[in-house]
Amino acid sequence: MAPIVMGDLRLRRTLFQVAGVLVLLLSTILLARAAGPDCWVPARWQGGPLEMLRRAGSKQVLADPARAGILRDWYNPRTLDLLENTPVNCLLVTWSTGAKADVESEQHKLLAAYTRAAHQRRIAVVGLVYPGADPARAAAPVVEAGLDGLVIKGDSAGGPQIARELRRLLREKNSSAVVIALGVRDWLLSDADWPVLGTSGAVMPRVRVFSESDSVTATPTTEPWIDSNTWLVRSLRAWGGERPVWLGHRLGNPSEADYARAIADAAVAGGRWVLAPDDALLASLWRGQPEALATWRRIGACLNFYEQHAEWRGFTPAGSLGIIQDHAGKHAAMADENLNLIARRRIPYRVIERADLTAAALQGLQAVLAVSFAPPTEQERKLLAAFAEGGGLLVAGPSWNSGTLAEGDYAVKKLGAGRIAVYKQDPPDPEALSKDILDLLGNENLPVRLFNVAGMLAHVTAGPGGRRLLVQLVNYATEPSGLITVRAAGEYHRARLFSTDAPPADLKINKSGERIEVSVTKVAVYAALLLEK
Amino acid sequence: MNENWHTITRRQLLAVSGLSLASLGRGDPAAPAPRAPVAPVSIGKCANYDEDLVSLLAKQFDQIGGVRRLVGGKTVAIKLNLTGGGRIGTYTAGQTHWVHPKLVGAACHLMGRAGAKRIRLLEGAGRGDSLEDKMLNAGWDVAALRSAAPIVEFESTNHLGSGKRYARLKAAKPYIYPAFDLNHSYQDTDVYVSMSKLKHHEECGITLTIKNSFGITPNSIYGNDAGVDEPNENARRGREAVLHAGKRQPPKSAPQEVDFTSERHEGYRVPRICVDLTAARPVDLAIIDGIESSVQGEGPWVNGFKYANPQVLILGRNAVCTDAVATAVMGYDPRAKRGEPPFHRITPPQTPGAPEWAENPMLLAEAVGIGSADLSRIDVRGVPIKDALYDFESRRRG
Repeated sequence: MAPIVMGDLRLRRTLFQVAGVLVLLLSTILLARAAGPDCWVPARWQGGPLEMLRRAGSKQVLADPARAGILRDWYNPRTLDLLENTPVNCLLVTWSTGAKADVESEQHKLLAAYTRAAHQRRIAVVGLVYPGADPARAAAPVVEAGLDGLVIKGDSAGGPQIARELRRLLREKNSSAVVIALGVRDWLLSDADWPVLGTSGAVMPRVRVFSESDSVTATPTTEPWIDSNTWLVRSLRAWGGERPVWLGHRLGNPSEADYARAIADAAVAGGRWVLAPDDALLASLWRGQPEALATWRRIGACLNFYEQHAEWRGFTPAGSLGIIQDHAGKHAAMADENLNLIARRRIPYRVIERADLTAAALQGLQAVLAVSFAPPTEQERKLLAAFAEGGGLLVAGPSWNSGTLAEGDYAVKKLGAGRIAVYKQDPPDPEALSKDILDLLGNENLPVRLFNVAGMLAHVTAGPGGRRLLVQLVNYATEPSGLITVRAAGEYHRARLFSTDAPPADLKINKSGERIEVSVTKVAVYAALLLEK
Repeated sequence: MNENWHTITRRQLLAVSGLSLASLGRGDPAAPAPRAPVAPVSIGKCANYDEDLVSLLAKQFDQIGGVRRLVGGKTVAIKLNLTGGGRIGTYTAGQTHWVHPKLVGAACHLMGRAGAKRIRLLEGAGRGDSLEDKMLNAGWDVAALRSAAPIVEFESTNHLGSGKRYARLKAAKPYIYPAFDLNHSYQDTDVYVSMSKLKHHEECGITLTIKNSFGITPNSIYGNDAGVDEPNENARRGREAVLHAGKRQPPKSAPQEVDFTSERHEGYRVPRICVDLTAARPVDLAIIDGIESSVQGEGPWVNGFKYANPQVLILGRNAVCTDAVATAVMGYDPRAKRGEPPFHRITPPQTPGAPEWAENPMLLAEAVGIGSADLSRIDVRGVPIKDALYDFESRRRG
């Protein structure tokens, strides 16, 4: 055996020590960055001197002067304590607004320390970049501050361009920070590199109040008008594949139920609402007020619920109606309205991207709505005609008309074993279309029918293999619902009710012809009914 | 009296009744018709639907002579008033513009207890839905209703339903239609109950048990998309073109109007058609739910529609007498002429300059001998009108 040389030992020890440090450092970095954007549960977490300046500049007056101080000091690491027992693991902080360099620099220093503290808790931090910000000034300190990404805000057409510039600048600095959009939806469609499909083009989910007496007034359809973003999440998920969808809208003077509703409205379709605590809540949390802390805990419990049931995000939309979507179509706004209003008629549907239109995609459907793109290609026409000939219902625009259309908005013609309903107008009026679809399809062909759900919408999905059907209900009204009946086609033997504030409960299943019925006595904001075969 | 006589002659009379046009002698609708029959009317007070409706209803049934002889061993059809849908604020439809499910349940229970063999709940459900589905959609506990009496059935009468053919029922002294083709349920019954809400009507002023008859006409025949030659069992549209405005006739298979040149204004036609329907399908028991209700119109789609709480339940064996008393309880004169409150449009017409008056259906019904609208002749039992008074007009005006 060769003698061990003291110099060798020292070298080996040093190498081991260096390796150990490197492993530790790498582990720390990996652990801190373990959750990527697809696992981020985001929250707006805006404060610091830059945020105060931004508010003053955009005339957002703080109602309570004392809150100005709280806002300024928000990046005290103790505010991270608020995130314990919540799944929030991504904070959107005020990063760059185009303000003077010294103010932005002060903010960046603050956030550098805050980000280090956040990373120790495995919380990612992404910086909000506002219109008017200089991309170079926004990107330069990202690495030093340790930010995990930048989020572009705004509604101008230049968003994608700013994103590309930021990505270039970050690449130059060898930064792996991501760039996310939280602006107008058009930005998403013109750039394929977004890791997250984020948009601020969403509405506060609620039943819309029209009358002066603050009571909900029935619209001409006798149903209350519901503002919901579930259709938008579905549209983006159908287009964007596996990428997470974020909705970045704020709530006006929200109650606790409004928070729960905004979370549910996005979550039922597999998206995430970027939690945006209002100033009043933040101020009360800062002061440690018990009521605010209790509200915050319940909001956290809501968020936790959807993370605990993350499996449901992978369920596929169940519906006998397929709606073909084409973002490049010339009537995009009308196409959006179709998705929105058909959902409001509680007709379960699947969104099919035009690019994904195949015979397999149409399997299991009884009707297909193909009015959002015109004219179809020859291949598309053959595919859709074959669907109708095989017994399905095709709802299409005037390009399918081969003769004179009868009076009325549309004419129905037989096509093989099925039918084609051809509309005269291009595009047809969405309100009338959504009503007609229900007439054409027939209530008896809906896989799930809901009763006494004015003010509520449902999102219906199926688990792998079709052995489980999930009906998620969101109540957009301020009052809890009354007795709801859910009628589903299929032989289900178990019905389990889930909600964010009670343990799961088994419900009685009643037979109704060849369907089953389950009664749900009350839904405050959200409930999920899982039917199992 | 032989019960079988009542059963046999009731159904047969409906099938064969009808007088020639020459025998029409309607006279002046405003003057009381001396031979128009009268029957007692009961008024009860009830604050809301959580009170003991069974006891109240039982007491009121007793006040008009009981229902045992009327329904014992019989099939009873109850035409409900479930107009449209929708709701305002936190109120259920049963609290504003529909009869309330608890009242329906109480009536079924009492009639079942009185020996009714079968109770059939009737109303038109839209879009091809069943009546049960329409009720489920308003949060009604249909299972509870089904078990309120030994046999409780449901039928949407907007189409053929469970019948094999439509029943043709004739009006003895028709104003507009000499006969109607209706869902079989309106013929296949021994006792016919009209249960309506105490409320305003946008075009006709008020809607009570006579107006409740309007809804017995099936959309398949009287709807805007009814067939030209035959009924359209897939009809989905309302009755404006055929009944309200007379712009088109029902299918050729159904009885046509007596006079195609008569006035087409809905304020003229609708009350007359309701009277024709009440004559063709006489009401054996009229029940008016005014416990909780609304003002301004028949449903939340009427601009200005709002909740009201008259706290009254009114019933009687004659629809005209019952409606007359109910009209008085609403603060109106049951003998008011067309255009006088409440017989005028509540909201401005869509076509500027169009007539805004409506006929008084009670006077029209009185003129053809269905019943009297003369309060001096009607025996009001229970709570006096003056103690039940609820001023609908001032509440409508706010």
